[in-house]
Amino acid sequence: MAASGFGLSAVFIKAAMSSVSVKTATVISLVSSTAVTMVFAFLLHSDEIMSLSPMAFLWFILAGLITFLGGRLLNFQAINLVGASKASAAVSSTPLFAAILAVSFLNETISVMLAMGTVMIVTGIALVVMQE
Amino acid sequence: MIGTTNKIKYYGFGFAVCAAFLYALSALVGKKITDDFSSPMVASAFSILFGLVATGSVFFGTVNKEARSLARRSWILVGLSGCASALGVSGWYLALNITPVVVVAPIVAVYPLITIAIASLFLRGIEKVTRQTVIGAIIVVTGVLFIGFGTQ
Repeated sequence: MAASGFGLSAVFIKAAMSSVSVKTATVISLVSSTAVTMVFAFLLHSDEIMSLSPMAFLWFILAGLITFLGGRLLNFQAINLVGASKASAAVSSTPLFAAILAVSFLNETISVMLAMGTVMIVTGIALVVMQE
Repeated sequence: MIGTTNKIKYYGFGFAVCAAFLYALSALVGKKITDDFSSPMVASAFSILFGLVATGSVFFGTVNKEARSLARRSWILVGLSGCASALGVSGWYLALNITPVVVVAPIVAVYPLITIAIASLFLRGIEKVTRQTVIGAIIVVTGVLFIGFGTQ
């Protein structure tokens, strides 16, 4: 469900891009995303929602700005310019950046697997980018 | 000299890599939230809500003008994209409730390959999926799996 959801989302957006701008697509998609996740959240965690602290809302705002005003907007812009399949391949390098941030700020160590994974991700993206 | 087509291509991949970086940064913020404040599902729902408020406020003029003349087909496709993305996030958290992350993460990591499969079926007239894109995506997914297993 999760993998299919992410895959379908990119394809639907690409199909719509010929007649809608990236900014409008981002906002409309967020309306439907909000509706679906809010239903799940209230169905499964209504007690927790009622007892959230004010500080939690400040963190939610920060996460919303980074992920959606930043991440989703750029993701849709990339899908618009290079297509759903190529953009998805590049965006899926997220774990690489997460590992780099974890090594830089959380003092985690670089393992052999991390190094090999990094080389493979860079090679894979280069292969997708450098085609005619 | 870089041609216009190549410029568009490089900008597109530049945006994609920046999006990947921001998603990674949001994972760090998400970790702080889920460690200290709420469950992942609640964090996800409220982050999307505030993301909508922020994005809607910044682009209100453009969206307000364009939404009035938007074709029904576009509304449906973009709405479905948002629903699919939300189902992806919800499915991720629901799966983590009943299955260890070592099982869930590798399955979800293959989503670019699912995108390619769906794109090759339904975007035939819009997008060409080449063999090089498929091979590149497989290598990226394998690299993501390496990192995933290396950080368990």
